[in-house]
Amino acid sequence: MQFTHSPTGTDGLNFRLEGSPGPDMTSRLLALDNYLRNHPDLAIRDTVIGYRSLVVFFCPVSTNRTMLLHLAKSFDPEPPAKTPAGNLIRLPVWYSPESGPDLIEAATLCRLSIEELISAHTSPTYSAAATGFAPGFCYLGKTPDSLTLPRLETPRRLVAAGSVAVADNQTAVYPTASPGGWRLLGRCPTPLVCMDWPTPVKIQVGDRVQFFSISREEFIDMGGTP
Amino acid sequence: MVVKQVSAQATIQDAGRFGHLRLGFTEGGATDPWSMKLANLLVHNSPDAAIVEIALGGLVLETHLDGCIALTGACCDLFINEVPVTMASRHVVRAGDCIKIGRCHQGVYSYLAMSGGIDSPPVLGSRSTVLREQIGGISGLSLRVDDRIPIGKRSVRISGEAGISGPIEQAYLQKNHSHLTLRVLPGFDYQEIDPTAVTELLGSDFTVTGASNRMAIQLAGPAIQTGIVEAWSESTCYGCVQIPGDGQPLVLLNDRQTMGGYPKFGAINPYDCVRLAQARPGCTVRFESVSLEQAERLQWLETHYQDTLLRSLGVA
Repeated sequence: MQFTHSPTGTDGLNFRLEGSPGPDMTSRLLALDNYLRNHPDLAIRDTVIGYRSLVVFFCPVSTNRTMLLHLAKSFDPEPPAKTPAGNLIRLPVWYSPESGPDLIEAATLCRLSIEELISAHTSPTYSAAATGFAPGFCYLGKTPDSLTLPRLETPRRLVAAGSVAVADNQTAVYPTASPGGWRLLGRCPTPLVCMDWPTPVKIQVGDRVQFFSISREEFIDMGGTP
Repeated sequence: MVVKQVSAQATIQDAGRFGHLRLGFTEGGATDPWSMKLANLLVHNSPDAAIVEIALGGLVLETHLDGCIALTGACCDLFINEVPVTMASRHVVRAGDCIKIGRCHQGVYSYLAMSGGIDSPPVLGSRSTVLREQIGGISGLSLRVDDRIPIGKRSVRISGEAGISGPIEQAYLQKNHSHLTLRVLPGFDYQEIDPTAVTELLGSDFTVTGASNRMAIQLAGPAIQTGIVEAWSESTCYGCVQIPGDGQPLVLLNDRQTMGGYPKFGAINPYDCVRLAQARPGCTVRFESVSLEQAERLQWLETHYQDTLLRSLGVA
């Protein structure tokens, strides 16, 4: 496979693919991830898929960096590894200045009305390009060109759980309260992470996500706390 | 043990939660694993048994079992039933005794081990508390007054002779650092960062600020303008140097976010990271770029140094 690579500390390797991020790149990264994690000659501790990269953390005692690189280079994803179509997940969002403190500013910056912004955010079927940052936090791409915003210069110290946010051309839901640098449009009442589930997160890389607009009352009915 | 008073942030930690970065769960774990190991070995626990990590002192506990305790890491006043006792030593305690960790004089994080180890419910294989994720420890929270800290049976203890007979010389305790060199292995976006910004990053002093915590050390210094306009979110790592839009570098630690979308320069040697985590606000730091070969050598030397110290203390 074609990639550029760099060390991620002494026990990690970052593989970056050429081309533009999107569902095709995600499925190539998933294929490489699957191949390396299951390779019998490698001791892989963890892997993390990003928009255009795969970072592999290995045991430096039993796994040789050069061999890991060689195996990755000789890996041929053609014919395309059969990638199961991910789940389609529909998530309700209460869009309002109360639940999304950046909603008005975002609309102003995008030169959209609030209604147009909500319509722009709910129209695409997003693909989950990466899970990370926090448990169950899934990076969804990509937002329409009309809804592309830089992230905040200085991250907030605290973002409420369930906050639905945008940054650049990505969108996501903050599953738990955490710091964050994305712009907040509203809140989703559906839990995205639960330690009692067999897989403790709701959205995984490869899944597809749609948002739909709900009212404050519906948000409360669905278990949300304003 | 029962918490009687707490003024510091005290959390239950062990070696950390590994293998779940891919689902977004960070690693957590003791910020200063070496000090945690020493505390555990002093009370003849296995080195990675769960302990209490205390930031900047200020914790009073009452024991409900006979056993022994040891305190390591950042230097604090330590009292058993109001009698001052030394750090980095094993102390016998009886049910009902009062353990007081007072003022912290040097460093940030101290480690209290109790024989038997802490036996709170593991989450994804670890007892480490990650406050942001609200998992591990006792209900995912830092210790509060009246919390009962469950202590394990002898199963986590190693054979009597395999621990440290102690006390350990004070030289092995954490010291105050006024200046640190952070050896960084370039990676991530380093080739795309503006060369002027790299020169400024490597040639300037930065200061540890009070906004630092278990997630990251926030540095202050000249604003580094990376020139990167399009950064795609990708995996972070322990010791990752991340440069947000305001140009003030962050060094990511145990409770870091598993992914980040700000430009990243590389990863700091883990042992330098521990020294940084134990440094107080005002400590100055300077980055020094190292090659992969140097970074691997450094890693080996530091590990070898600790192994040698443990052998000199009588640990097999």
